[in-house]
Amino acid sequence: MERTLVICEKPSAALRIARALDESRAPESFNERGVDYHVARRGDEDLIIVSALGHLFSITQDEGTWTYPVFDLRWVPAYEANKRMGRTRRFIDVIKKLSMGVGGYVSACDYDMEGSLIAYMILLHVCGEESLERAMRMRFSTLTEQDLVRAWDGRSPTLDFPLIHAGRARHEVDWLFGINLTRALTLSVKNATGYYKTLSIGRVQGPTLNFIKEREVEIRTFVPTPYWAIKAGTKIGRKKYSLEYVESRLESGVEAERIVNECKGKDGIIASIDTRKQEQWPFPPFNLGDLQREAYYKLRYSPRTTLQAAERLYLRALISYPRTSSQRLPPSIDLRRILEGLRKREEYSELAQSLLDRGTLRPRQGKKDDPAHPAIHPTGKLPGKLSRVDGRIYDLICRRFMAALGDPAVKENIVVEVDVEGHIFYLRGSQLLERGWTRFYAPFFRVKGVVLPTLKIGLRIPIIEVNAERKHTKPASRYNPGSLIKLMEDEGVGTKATRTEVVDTLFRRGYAKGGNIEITDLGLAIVETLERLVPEILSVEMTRGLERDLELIQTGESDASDVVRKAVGILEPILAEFKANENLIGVEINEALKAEAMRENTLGPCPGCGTGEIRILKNRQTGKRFAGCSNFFNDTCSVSYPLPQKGRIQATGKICLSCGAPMIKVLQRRRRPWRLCINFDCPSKRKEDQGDG
Amino acid sequence: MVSCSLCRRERRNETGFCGYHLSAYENLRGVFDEWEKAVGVTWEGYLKVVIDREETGLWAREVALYLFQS
Repeated sequence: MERTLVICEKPSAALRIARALDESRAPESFNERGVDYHVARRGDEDLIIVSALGHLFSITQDEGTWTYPVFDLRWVPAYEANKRMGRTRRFIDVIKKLSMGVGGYVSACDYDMEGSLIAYMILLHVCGEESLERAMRMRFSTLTEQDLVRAWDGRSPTLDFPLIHAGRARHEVDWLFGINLTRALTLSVKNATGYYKTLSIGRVQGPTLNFIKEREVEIRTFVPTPYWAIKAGTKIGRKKYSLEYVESRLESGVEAERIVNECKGKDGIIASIDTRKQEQWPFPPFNLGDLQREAYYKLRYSPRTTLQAAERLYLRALISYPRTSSQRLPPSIDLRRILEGLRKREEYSELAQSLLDRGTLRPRQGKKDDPAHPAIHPTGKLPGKLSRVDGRIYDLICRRFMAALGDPAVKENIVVEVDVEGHIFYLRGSQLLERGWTRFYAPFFRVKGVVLPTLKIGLRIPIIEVNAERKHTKPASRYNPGSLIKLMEDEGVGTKATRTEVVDTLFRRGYAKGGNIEITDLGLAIVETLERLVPEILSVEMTRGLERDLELIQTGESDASDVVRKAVGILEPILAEFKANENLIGVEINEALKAEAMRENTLGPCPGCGTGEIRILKNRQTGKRFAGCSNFFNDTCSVSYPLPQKGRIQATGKICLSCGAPMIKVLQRRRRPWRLCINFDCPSKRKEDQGDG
Repeated sequence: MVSCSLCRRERRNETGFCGYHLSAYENLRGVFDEWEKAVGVTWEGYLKVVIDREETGLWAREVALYLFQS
């Protein structure tokens, strides 16, 4: 019997593929040294289905020490490049053993650049170069039995080499930028000051950090200006309605007061009524970026949380492959079958049935497309029990899918022009006449609007209140994780697969903080230094150009080795500039690091002396931490407090209303943040004790 | 290197400010006309109001405070 080795990306995907491809749907499963593999019988073939663990091979420096520039690289088993990847050794060994004597190979990794590269590297380094000529490729967008069988039957006779070359070049370019710039930054601080801290920057990280910095500068240099907004109120029947003045902003307070005085206590006459019906088309189905943004705005889930949930749902065959740019559902997708599946869930039963009752199903298609995968959609498979996060993401995807198949919603907008002593005000109303697709998307769509009574031109309505409110202009909003990923997408920085990770890295490195993303002093220092000495790293054009070149590899219009050579050409002068200014860069960044550390250790003003600051200090004898006044060192204040010894302590910027000591937050893994007054003897704590007793 | 009057960054020109504080200074100067027209405020009065407004950016507030005190 012929034997074929099928390589999958993850263990759970391997099991699904084995079950789908085995003719009796009951493959034999084995475990060797903690690595699962399955044998499925199909026709006269034995399919040995084994999984990788994501990437089993990664790039390392060819030889030499921890310095820069480094342009010689090689692909090695992941456990050789990274000690924490020790598990990958067993997977490589088991795959090697299973590949002995097989007749053919099939790559069944996720159908994208990463998946194609994972299987290619395994075939090249584990199964031998000659295996590449005997390898085929399965292409699927869902892990349902039907799609997997179809993908097996229609597998392509060769591997997708353009995608593999593009993936390989992308890894190499990113490695070259990442390793060299990270070493340049880290060594500049270490060589100048002796202090070691990993400081990274990359070709995508740089422009992204610069976006945050530019917004921060806009906010920090902002000066508000005053303006006045005139609001009025009327009563029609028993109900009150708000009126807006024709000019939403008046620059003069005197002018605003004059208008208010002229309208006070007067009647308004309806001068015109403009009624318009507006069709509101449904949103297209989700691509990854849209899903991450919607989940952030509607559910407050970070892009990473959403991506992880979507990947889990994909591996359970509940949704299609989530790393897609497409907002389109091609005709090859059996929409009716999916709806029949969704109908089995009680909460979707009526909604799905209403769509199934239609003769034809035409989804709303978006503009963005992806040649590899359709928009994210449910498979129709019943989910069973899901965690809270997965359940909500699943619901969002299902409802968006059904909404995309819905009719347009019809809204009526009414603008009534009211003349009050020659001053024009607007009375606005709107109502949803036909719910259309909003019915499917109800939990995530709020109907806003005021329903107006029947009105006629010439009708007099009383102005029951009118006032001018002084307001001030506001600075631009900070980015949140959702809007930052959208900006990266719009600017062509990074890919759908890397953007989430890049944003996370900025937080992990301490360059950015907060839900409304704020640059830290360290982040600012890094950008300032790079801006002055090597501005190319922050340049959107540079990374966008490389991104374009990498995409052209996929279409065969660009050569992978040329693109890697070009990246080296860009890096060489940048790194030479770094070397020449290493000391200066190191000293500047170290200043920011020290300031950041000082800020992190400062908890608030000292309630004892009023001039010092309460800081986190360490007892030299016991090594335990405590909080003490900064004036302790000049013998003018001796205020000190014990501190919890576990967890990370953060200042809250607030002081205790009972005793004036700083309030702190203690953060511990898997525990809720603990907010408390730093003063052990605070009267508020005594009160609590009495209450409890 | 001559430092900015308000931070450790390099001073840009005779105003004594670095690039960021200079930009905040220009914004402060730039919108004074609007304030003057809107509320008829003096330069000192304007600085005082801007220092107290929560919308004012950190660097703009630092410049306003510096100008107010000098």
